[in-house]
Amino acid sequence: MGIYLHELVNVVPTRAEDYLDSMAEHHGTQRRARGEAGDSMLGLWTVLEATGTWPLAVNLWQNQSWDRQAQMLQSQFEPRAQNPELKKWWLNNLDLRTGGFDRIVDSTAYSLDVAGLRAEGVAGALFLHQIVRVGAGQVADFLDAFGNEGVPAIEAAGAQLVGAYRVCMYDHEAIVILAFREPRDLARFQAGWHGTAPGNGLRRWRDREDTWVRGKETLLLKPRWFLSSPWHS
Amino acid sequence: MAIYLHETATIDGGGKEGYLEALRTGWVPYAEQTRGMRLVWMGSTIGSTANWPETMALWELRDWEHFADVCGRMYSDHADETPLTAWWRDSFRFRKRAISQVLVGAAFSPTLDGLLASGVAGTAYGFTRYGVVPGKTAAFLGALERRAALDVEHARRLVGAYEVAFTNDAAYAVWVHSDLVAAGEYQRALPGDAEICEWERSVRGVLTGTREIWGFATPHCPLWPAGYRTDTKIW
Repeated sequence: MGIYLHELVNVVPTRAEDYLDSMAEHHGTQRRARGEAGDSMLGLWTVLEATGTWPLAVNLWQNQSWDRQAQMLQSQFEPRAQNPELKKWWLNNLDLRTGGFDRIVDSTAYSLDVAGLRAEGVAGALFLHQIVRVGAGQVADFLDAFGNEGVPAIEAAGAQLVGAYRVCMYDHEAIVILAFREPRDLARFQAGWHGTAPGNGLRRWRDREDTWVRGKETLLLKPRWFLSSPWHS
Repeated sequence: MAIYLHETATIDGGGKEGYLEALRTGWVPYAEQTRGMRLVWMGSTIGSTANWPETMALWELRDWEHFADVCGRMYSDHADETPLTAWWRDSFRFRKRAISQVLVGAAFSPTLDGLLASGVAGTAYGFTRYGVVPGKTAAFLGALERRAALDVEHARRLVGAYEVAFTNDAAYAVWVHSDLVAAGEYQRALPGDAEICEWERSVRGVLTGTREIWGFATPHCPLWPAGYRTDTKIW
């Protein structure tokens, strides 16, 4: 299990990829200087104009531990620890984004970290990103069932698990991200999700998750950078 | 199983007329030619019932394969598709942001071809979002089919009934009235219709809430009344 920073960023229209490149360059350069670049970026995505709010970008950074997460926050807020390069980047890129909403998340035991995802060859042309709303206090139950019952059905239907995460400091949210190598894999997955064929494991999971799930905010994503970038090697 | 893309765009200032015209002359024919997307409806939200200024568009896709193909080719900032790039960048003179949903047509929901064949048309539309208890979507859609039959008696016809994809707590429907006067008359008549009141009681354990906004079609969109010719734009 590990700590990640999850960001939904309101990007300026037509500047999403410019924002993600600028962010990746700044982040990778800073981490590389500390010898930490390699496994620190899980994914940077643009949101497709198909589901949810647009324009929007999604960032997921692997910070590993609360110590590292706290260091990152100190570099922005703690007067004696502020990083002047971060301040410079932040204030110089206001033409690329106008704000956002972040969450600190903790990965489930069955979710691979960046190195593990890379070793398994997880990749996608499209990604399904869901903020799952469950009953208060039911996050762990949902995520356990998702790992035991949902993931096998999902992977049999053509998706790959990127990760399932508990949203820290919330009692009713989880985040699930799936990868589809090709658009046709998403088509197969969706046809199975809405299908009625007997023996359809995905359909069984769909019915099962109603035990906990009270709604989902879904985004379809295209990767700008996934598991690596020119600045995170 | 037809799939629908429903997009609501937030308009910048007085840009609604310009954006709808840019859609009509630019993206609509381009999307149909290059991606096979079929426009079902396009127009303005009616601000007295919804956020404003906004526009909405509803597109029909054949199936999930078609949907996935459209997603795979969906525009990103540096795509190598010159006509689309130019249109895309220019459109931000008129719009600021959008919110979209993917809809799965119910078995009884008519397709665009079916709507056109049966002469469904009008200027005033209801866009209804139904909050559904998780696990009850199929039951609600069955009830919605019965409601559509009741609403026909009040000259309100079904354009589409849908499951909202990628969640488990919502359904959606689009309804058409001949015009705004008819839409108002329908609302006036509702409390006095015993069958509709009974229908509303019957879905109490299935729904968590219902919200309808109104939209006004733009002339030239497929469900605009065939005999109603005008060059006036919706501003």
